[in-house]
Amino acid sequence: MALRPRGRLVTVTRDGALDGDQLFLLYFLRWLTSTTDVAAEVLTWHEGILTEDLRDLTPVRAVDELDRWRLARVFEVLRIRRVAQALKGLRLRWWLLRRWRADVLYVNGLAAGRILGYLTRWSPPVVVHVHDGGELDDPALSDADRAVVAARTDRFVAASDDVARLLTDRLGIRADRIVRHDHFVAGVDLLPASTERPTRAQLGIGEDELVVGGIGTADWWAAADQFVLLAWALRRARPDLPLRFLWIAGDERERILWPLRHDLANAGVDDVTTVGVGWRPLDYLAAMDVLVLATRVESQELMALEAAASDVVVVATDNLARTGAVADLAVVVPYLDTEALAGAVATVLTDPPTRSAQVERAGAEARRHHDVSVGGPTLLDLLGSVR
Amino acid sequence: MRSPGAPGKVLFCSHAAERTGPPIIMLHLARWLRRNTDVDFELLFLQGGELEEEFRSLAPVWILDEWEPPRAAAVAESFAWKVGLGRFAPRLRRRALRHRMRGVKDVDLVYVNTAGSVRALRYLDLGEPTLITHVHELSVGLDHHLAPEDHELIRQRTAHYIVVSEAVREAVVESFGVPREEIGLRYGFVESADTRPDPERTAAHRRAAGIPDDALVVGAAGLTHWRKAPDLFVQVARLVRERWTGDRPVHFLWVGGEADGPELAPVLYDRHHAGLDDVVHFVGHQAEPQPWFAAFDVLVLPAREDAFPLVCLEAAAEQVPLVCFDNGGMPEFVGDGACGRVVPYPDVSAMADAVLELLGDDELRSTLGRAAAERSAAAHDVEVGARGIYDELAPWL
Repeated sequence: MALRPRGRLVTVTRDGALDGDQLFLLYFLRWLTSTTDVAAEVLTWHEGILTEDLRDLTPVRAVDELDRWRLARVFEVLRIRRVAQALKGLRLRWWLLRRWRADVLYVNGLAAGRILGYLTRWSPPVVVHVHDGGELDDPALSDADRAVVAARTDRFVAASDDVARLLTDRLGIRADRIVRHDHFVAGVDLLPASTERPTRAQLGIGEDELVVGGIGTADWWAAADQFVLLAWALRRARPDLPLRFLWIAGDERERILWPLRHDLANAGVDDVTTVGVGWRPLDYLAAMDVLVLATRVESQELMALEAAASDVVVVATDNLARTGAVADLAVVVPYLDTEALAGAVATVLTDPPTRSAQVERAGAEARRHHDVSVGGPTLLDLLGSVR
Repeated sequence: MRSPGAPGKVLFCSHAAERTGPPIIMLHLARWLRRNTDVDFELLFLQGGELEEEFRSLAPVWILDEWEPPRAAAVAESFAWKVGLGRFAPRLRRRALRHRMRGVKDVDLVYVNTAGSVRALRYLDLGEPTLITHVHELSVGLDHHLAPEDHELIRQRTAHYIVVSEAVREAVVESFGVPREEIGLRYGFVESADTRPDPERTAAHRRAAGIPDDALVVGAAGLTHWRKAPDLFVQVARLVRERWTGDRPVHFLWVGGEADGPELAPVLYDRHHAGLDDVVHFVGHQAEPQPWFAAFDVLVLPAREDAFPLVCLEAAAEQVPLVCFDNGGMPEFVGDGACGRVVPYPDVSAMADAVLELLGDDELRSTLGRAAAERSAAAHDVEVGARGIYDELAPWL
């Protein structure tokens, strides 16, 4: 059952950063506000680059605004922080209490689930959407936060089978409280206006170079080490190709990035590798020919969908791409098999018919199963069915 | 006051009294000095560790414990932060630690065992003693872990550098701008055991780890952090298993570091996804590693960078040949291939092939193993290594 006519959807999200789960919300709300009469509003913990795009669609409040609340500021200045925190907590509770008659409280991403600690006994049904397994390890969530989320959520939406399994294994959520729902995107033409895509020239990459991209924090979980091995193996196997490697790290601090840089230098591939940085990974898709997803924990489905919508071929490893969107869209190779990974990347780079076929297949798959026009209505049905 | 002509007092500084390469070298050196010289010395560690008592039996020991300042200082620091005077907190800590180290005095020569240990000088009131810096680090240690002020302190104050391998010599030349001919090279060394480990203990360890009696064992040893590359060890294991055509099962055994926990979690994830849970074993830190090394048929060193790891010498003493990458000091030991194989970094496929070559040829394995043991005994025994360091120190005593 969908939300009732003129229903009311209260959404809580982490921030307005230009990354997967926040874009997902933007696409969903765009579709929702343009095709239904559901009244939506958003509470975001922090503001970000997408917040203005969200404000164009719905009323948006930011928890950060409480930091500017004069009454709380007085206690902050007096260094009685405990009172300041308590006051802010009361404001949040009051904000939520006033929405107790909403049809559903939709929490976008596990990190935003901290809000559930402020719920009173009068609250709408709660749905928490978990997009990625990595969210379970988010340091922003304490064990107490996780316990509250597990206890106060009526329904979890899992973006993949792996996420569903992790919710059961790690949070002890019964399978009948979890619903699977595929990711969706809105197509490259609907990317928000705030997106500024760096050109190849700005990145120091020639137009005729073949760019192999990777993405993630420069640590073991994001498998930056696999990317180093891939770069080394590809360079060795195909010295004839004008290769460039682009790793989009989530953090530009040198103390985070140096192991990756050091390893690249050690492997002798530093001269051909550009490490891009920043929190706007989607911007860099346009500069890539191939996106490699070989991470250990995040399936990065939305990134794969965006890549497919941008005609960028995705090559992924089968540790996380056994099922779900990435399996549907990507060229999948065995995990840890560097030679197979390098071979698959080389093939799509050098074989135009294979590449075109893959682009076409992935694009069609994205449109057929992972477009907001398909996923939006089913998600809305799902939200409306929770009582 | 010492009599004219008598050696002055030496302060040996190391980062921790733990069972890792540089502190073990310092322990061997201290024992040798006690046995063979009348050098008056004291020992200072940035942190304590399991070797503390052994060091105490040789000389007075000072433990700085930088992150555990005296209680009064910790309270004062916490108060300073609470009342908005946090900028004074480091000063409070420094003063408290200097007070803790006030008994360290009348030192003529300071020997820092690892570049990172030089930070001890921040807390000592020693005037201007001669500084000898024994560098065990490569680029990771010198360029990324060494604080800029400590780097500068070494550069300005060091009278003489000692390094543990040619690879480190190159790194010191590059990092500190020292002419290479002014740097003393003294390879790492181990104490030759009079007796081999008890085979019964080795067999028991194998069984405890889940290794069948008839299995060939590919070993590795060291901490389990990124630099030592246990992730590449799993990659090598995967390829060896895939390509192995012999009759005997092959198991992989990592001794040292963590056996579980967040540091190793990504590696265990890889092991699981490679279907190697039953054959790749991480047994964690072992107080007595030698019986474990005796279980190895081949030792691999998959490190992203390693100056001159003692585990290779300790395994060599058990006649275990070595396969390593060409990226640190160990190729200098393997050298001409008489003691093992050297493959280009990060070619895990070539490393797997080298391991397969040794696993598949008992005679070759034992020839290389014997050569490794002979080379270790001849060039890397305490008598050679400790005397070498003493010779480096002697002009400054």
